[in-house]
Amino acid sequence: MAFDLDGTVLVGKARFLDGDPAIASDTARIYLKVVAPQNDFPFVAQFDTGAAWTVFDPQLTEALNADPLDGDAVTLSTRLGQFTGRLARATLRFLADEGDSIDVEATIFVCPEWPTGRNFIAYTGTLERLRFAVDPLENEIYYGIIE
Amino acid sequence: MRSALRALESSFDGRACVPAVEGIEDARSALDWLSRRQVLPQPVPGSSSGHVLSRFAPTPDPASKLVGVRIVMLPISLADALVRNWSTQGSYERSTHVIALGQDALDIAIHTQQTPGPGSRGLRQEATTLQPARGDRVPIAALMAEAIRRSDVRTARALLRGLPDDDPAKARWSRVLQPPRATRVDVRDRDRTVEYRALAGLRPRYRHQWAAIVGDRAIAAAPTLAELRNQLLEQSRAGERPLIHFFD
Repeated sequence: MAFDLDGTVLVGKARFLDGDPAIASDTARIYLKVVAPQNDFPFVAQFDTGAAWTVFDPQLTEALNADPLDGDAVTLSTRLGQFTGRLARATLRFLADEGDSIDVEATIFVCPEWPTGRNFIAYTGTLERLRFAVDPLENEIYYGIIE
Repeated sequence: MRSALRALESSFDGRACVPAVEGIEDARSALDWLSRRQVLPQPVPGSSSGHVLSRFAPTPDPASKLVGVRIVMLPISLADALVRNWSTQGSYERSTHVIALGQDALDIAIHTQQTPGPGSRGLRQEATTLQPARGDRVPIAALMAEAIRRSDVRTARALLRGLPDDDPAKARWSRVLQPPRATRVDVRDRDRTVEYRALAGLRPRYRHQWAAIVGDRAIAAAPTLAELRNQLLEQSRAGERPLIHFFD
């Protein structure tokens, strides 16, 4: 699959989940399907361009084999509270249903105290080198790479 | 004249860096002195200029003491990045030229120039030629670490470019601050619409558990992800590539 739009090449698309049943809210959210390339079990994470860093449930982070980097602790202020952790590089796979998937070597926030089951994909460090387009009628997201 | 300022006058190398001065008042005097020496760009006609001396406290603490102020000149690109994120009132242009900061990076003094518009290109060029003196300990690393702590990646990346190559902080932070790398892979998942729709219905039964979902059913569930994985492996169901979900 390739859509050429003014030089933009979209390589794949996937259906997204438009709301987490665990959160009682009328607000629609986009949950994308991602997986650690070395692990076959996909999970969903909220597409959150307002998040400071990508952050996953600690057990999922472990499965990502994140490579924690030395350095100062980083504090993340969220509506769930303040969390102190470290930044790490890890590879995430944005799974496509059609076309090709995309692996992104990203900077993620690693925090053992992060709440279980809460997964967020941030713009900074993860999405900022991806092209993406959302089709809200079909609940589909299109992915592209910057070549 | 305060002794610190005398030291400043006697040791100023005429290029960029000056010794540390103590206290915010000395910092102000030092900035004024630098302005008079025309080290700082002069105001352009029709503009106003001033020194913005401000406390930069990652954890605001009224009792924190200024232990010293170090005045350095940074390339305009770095100063730009800082002032862009600086909470200023009014229309300060991105023509910051001097940054003075405490040795513990708690205090910063910024000289800015308020200009009527983008016509300060000449000023920018002048400032770009000012570089930190070799060998001087420019605490860019401290500023960068602080920017990272407050998740200000744009500023941190700009500051990283200003770190000398032999600074240990450069290697340490280069990797974390580098933009993500995306590569295309010839891999596809199946459409998970059925699993997505099933989540709400499965939640009451599997609350506070990890579940492995295939179609509209949970084929395994466990209190931890590790236990769930073990179950899937023991049941030889890993090949079904279930969607993993924690039900809050």
